[in-house]
Amino acid sequence: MSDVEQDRKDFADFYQRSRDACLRAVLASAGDRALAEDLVAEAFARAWASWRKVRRHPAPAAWVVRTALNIRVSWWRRRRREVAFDGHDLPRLDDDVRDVDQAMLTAIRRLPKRQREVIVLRVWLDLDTNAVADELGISPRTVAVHLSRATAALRAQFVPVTS
Amino acid sequence: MNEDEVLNAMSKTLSDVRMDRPVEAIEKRGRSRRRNRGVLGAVAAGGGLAALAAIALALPIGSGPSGSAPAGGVTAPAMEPAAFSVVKQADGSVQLRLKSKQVINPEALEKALADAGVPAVVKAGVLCTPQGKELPQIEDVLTFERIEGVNEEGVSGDSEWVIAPAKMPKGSVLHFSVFPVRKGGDYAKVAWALVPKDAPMNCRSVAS
Repeated sequence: MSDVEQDRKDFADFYQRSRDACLRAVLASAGDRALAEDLVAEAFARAWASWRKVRRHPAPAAWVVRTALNIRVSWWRRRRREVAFDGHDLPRLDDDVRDVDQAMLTAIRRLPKRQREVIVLRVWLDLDTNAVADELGISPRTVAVHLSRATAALRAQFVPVTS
Repeated sequence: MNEDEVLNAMSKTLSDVRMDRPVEAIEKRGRSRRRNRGVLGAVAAGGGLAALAAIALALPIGSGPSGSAPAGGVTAPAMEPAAFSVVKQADGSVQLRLKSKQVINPEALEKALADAGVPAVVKAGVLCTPQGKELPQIEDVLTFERIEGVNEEGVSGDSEWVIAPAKMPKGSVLHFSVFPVRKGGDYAKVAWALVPKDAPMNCRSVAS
């Protein structure tokens, strides 16, 4: 197998393995299902364009998520600054996002930025504390503090359902 | 619920959401980017991408201090007191709220903003976009936030801007357009831009 073929196989495996988790992580921050999918697709395309570099990243899925969210910022900034009074241009969730998920996502998006970053990487990408710390350039102890505060804030808004 | 239970519950959130784009489409787009990178590389080396990287994971919508107590008086027009409010806050920022489905008097809103230290132009009924470039300081000058829920009239869709007049470049104005999207309809949208004073604008009706 040539190097190019091997790269394609590795990338395809990575994509199949990571795409759902990346989409959920970006959706948790972006809120809009269609937008999140566009952003993740573009981020994966950029990963493929720089695959020899990205594959060496300690957490390539985290690279994709952070790239997708960076794209989101730049896209937003390029957009015409215009909103509808009736809210029809608000980020929307689609049918595959259940009501309970919508409530949870709304709560997550209200978290401070750093807490939200930690939650997204920890929960949907399943990174451990040290990996989250490396990705965000902060100490593991700081990650733990952010995680604790974030879960406390979320816990306060939801009660467990007992059957 | 302890911390692990919260995390576990969250991990089940969005479990039905799946990315279904074929890898071939991703690879095609990636190859296209790779081809274009040679052209764009010179631009990137100039520092544009570095600036972009610095805003990683930031949310695009700013969180205005909507809950803080106003330090100054409310300035509102006499004829349409419910259509908008302009409040100067303790930190020098100015909070502008526009109520959904209200007729806005553009002159009154302009005056209220001017009284609060915000040079502004307000056009009603048309969408105005700059003929030239917007001033990039818009990112520092203004944040937008949707007000959730309904207002005292039971109408949803109110909007809030927090403006930092001290960050407006000398000689600049904020240009607001409030306009309907259907002929004879209520004002449905608002657009804004930071431009030099007297900058040419393209103003047109978008109602159909």
